[in-house]
Amino acid sequence: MLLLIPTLIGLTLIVFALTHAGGSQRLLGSYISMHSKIPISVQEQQLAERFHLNDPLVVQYFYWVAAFVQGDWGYTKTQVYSGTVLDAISLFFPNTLMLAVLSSILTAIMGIPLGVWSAVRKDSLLDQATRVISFAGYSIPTYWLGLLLLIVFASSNVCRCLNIFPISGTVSASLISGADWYSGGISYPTHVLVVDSLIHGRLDIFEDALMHLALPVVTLTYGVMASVLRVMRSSMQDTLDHDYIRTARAKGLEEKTVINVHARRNALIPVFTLLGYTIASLIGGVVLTETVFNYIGIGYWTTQAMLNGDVGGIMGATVIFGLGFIFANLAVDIACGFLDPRIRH
Amino acid sequence: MHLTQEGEPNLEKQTSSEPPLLRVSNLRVSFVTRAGKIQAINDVSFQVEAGETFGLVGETGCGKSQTALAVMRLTPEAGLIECGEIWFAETNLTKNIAQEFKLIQKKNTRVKLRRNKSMLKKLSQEVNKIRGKEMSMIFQEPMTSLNPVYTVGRQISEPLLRHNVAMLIDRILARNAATKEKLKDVMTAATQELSQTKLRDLLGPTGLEALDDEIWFILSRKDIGFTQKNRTIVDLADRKVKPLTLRFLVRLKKSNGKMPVEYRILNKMPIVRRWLIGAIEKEALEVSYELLSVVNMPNAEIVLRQYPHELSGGMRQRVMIAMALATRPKLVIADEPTSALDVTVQAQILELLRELKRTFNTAILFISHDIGVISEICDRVGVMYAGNLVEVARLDQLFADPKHPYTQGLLASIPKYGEKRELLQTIEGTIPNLIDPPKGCRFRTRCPCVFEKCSQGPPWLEIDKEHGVLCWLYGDSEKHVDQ
Amino acid sequence: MFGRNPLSSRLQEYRLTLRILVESPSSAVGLAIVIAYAAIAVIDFTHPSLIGVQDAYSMIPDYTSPVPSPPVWPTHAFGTTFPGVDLYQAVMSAIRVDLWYSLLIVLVGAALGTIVGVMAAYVGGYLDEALMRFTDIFLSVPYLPFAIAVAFVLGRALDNVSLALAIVWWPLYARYAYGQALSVKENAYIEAAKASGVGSWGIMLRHVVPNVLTPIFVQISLDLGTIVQVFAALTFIGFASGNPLLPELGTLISNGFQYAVAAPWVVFFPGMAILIFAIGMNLLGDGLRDALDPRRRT
Repeated sequence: MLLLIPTLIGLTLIVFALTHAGGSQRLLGSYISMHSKIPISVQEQQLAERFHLNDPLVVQYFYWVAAFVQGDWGYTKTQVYSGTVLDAISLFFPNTLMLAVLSSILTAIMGIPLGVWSAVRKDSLLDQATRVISFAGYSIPTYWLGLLLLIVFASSNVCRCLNIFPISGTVSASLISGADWYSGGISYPTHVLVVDSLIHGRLDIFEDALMHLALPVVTLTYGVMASVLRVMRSSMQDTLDHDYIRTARAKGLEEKTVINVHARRNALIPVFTLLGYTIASLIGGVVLTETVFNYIGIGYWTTQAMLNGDVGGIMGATVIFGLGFIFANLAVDIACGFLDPRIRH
Repeated sequence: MHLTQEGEPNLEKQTSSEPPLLRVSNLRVSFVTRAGKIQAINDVSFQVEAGETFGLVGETGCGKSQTALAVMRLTPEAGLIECGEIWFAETNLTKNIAQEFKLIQKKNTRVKLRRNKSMLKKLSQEVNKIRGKEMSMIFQEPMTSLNPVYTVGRQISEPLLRHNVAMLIDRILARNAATKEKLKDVMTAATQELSQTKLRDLLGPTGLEALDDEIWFILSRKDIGFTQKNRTIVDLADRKVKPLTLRFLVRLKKSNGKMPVEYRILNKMPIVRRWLIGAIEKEALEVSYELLSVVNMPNAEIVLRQYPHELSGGMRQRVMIAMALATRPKLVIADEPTSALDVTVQAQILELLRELKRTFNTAILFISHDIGVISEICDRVGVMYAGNLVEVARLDQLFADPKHPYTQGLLASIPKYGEKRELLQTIEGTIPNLIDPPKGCRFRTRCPCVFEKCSQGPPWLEIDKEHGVLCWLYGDSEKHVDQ
Repeated sequence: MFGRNPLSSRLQEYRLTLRILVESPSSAVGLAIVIAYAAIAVIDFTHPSLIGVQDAYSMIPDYTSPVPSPPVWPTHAFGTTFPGVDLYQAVMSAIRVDLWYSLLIVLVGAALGTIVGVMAAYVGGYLDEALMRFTDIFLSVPYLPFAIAVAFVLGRALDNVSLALAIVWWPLYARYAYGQALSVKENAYIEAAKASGVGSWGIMLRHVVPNVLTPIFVQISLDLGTIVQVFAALTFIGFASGNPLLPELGTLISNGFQYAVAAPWVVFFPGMAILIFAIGMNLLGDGLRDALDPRRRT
């Protein structure tokens, strides 16, 4: 936990370096207004003053950090949204969080038991099927899977009957048109469509939003679950070779107990240790999935920013992803402490 | 099964009409590897009587540990019990082996490891009723043999909760039924030197026999005086359980430890479960505490809550011993329990085992490569070499009159204090490759007395009732008699 | 044994590894796939016409019929994509391009990371702390957004994407090599080597590095599959705009994105190419790891 501070500082260093590596032109791009009466060169000068661009880098860094801490994270100008980065994040983040959390829960519920069973029934049909599925999962490009799912389930030319899910976006335009709490892809007050629709009592929109969520969640979950499954299975196999499993059997415990009580908890420890990497791929997957499905969230915003050349957007996304990652890792470390008493001391 | 009267060794020897506690006949175990089939245990037969300590001694790789694992039916996946019988009291632990293996061998000359594994698992389950309850095991490496994520107390309670639920319930119920007056009456007739059977007699009329272990334990505590003990015992009556729990426990006892149907749903709910099972679990921890004290663990209350990695090697081994003795088994298999410990701790553990042998009267199958350790604790000894049992004798017989050349070489190579030599005496040669062992007697490549007959399988010859040897030197008769 | 292994026994070790590898059907398949892909890449580079590719460096548009048309055997085996490009040729060349860049990324990242990791582990002290903190800074950001940000800063071109990925990827190897080197360092044979008088550099080069290389090598083979995916993902998002006609799998998919629903083959084949390669590489990597595991060698 003490490493938190240096890690955060590291993050700021990286973002700062990236922000200023592109050159001041790029940096100021979002701030320069084309429609203002002030000529661009003068605007540039004013902005250079404001952002201390003429000072040595180290000084700039401290000004930047100061601004950062106070909540000024820059300005973004994209097709989706224009405004301060902080605002943009608060608008997009909840949706992304929802997607990520749903996928994580699904992964945990499905991945862990499957991993355990697969290791216990080694080389059985279940095990082989699981291995194949999991293997395909972490070999497949996430966005491609998303596309395929779209093609098959949302607009199948093969068979109309498979068109269960809507094509893209977060909600159907027709349903949402009357709602005054929704505009430009953002819903109020919680910015999470599924929740807001409940708050406003529109069950039809709620259902529709869920349908829109389905395919992205499946796409994301499959990729993440595959790697969790793989680690869980191999760690369970390793655990079953340990001496204390032999001791547990020697005590005459039922095999069920041996597996679920003794083996599983120990097998989970490496899974949690690697959770950091899993979360990183979750985040990567989020970006790709949102892009493919036009699902309005941070990932979508990132790619839009990139296509529009919007520095603020990219940096903001990097910051929020970085922060999320750091805190997720922290939570994982704490969880590891719960699981493994050796770490607690 | 209760503690015998302290100080009275069990003099009753088994008569030949009573079956031995453990009987291993013609056991053969091999391992299939990429390089070939390792014949790890080759036609091994021996017996262990109730209450006696039988040692298995031999070099690394001679198969003694695998024999122990085979008895416990814990043979590793790659291992194959090809033939043989293992009888524990009245139960045949190997009853299905013959048929199943015939099946496998008919189908495939090359043994399919997967089938082997599922079969081993099935056998395992059958054996689970005995394993841990009548027969338990102490392993060599206490650090890796204890689960690092659970507390010591929980791990010792486990076999109790699995096998001895009735006993735990009895204790709780007895304590509930006890009143201070009844206990006071019992204690007035008690003295410090009370023996266990007398205690039981005293408790009989009050119907509180189930408390005898607990009372006995308090009486044997060394840290408090007699009056204090008296008071503690009488105070036992204060520890009651909630009536709801009581009702549940009575019901549970009637159904013999299986969760009764009406409580099954309640059992799934975490908080309610605490009310129901909590009392039993707490009781199990009490018993664990008693067990830890019996194995001379300092600060037992604290240790109960600690994790294995917080303890030293000697303490961990004591935990393993406590765990093995929890259900008062008839047979304890100790696989090199002292090999991972340093010498002073080794001595303590051996002393502990001797004491426990006296108080609990368990039979011990003691495995070691160190003949010195064997000589400290065993009544009878079996010597193994390269998968064969080459000699079995009483301890004194073995040391006084070793018959088999290997045993002789072994004993001769022990450096003796006071004896001055230039070179240590050794046995020439090395142990044979078990994938392709020498035909006939496996020791003949190193035996100083080897002659032509040795290339054929030597018979098992009985020198006298308790001394047998696998060697041609002692006669020609093919008396293959189980010892 | 001090000194090097005699060459014959090393060769025997490799042969045993190969044998174990081929015995297991899954890793044999993986090996076959990887070899096939490598062959395609090499042939495409030297004699592209052998596999039916006209121009290995550029997709050939046909503006007369820019709309994607379905597969027709044998002229357009995979169909065409926007704008009228033969998909088969594009995919074949794209394989070469992707493989080349991915290999570059992984090798550079691994080399850099391993050097840093081994040095930090072996030298210890301040260098250790400094290098590891530096590495940790990079690891505090998840790789995809990080790569996007770096590539964005460097400018939108394929080479910059590769550079960005290498920058993002080396810390993983540094951390991994560090751990491996540390455990190797604790081994007894290092002490033995020191005791017999071998100098520091000698130890590092002759003992530490070879023993670290084996797991690193396994990791590389596993990573190659991942990197191909990530690289294609970045180009899919829209990075490589330098030469829009450069055949590249991710670009192909993003080009076909709009037509995906109506003309699924447009995204199907490029994606399949990535998928099969990833599968092959992962199978091979897993197989290698199992084969090199000392327990399985008996």
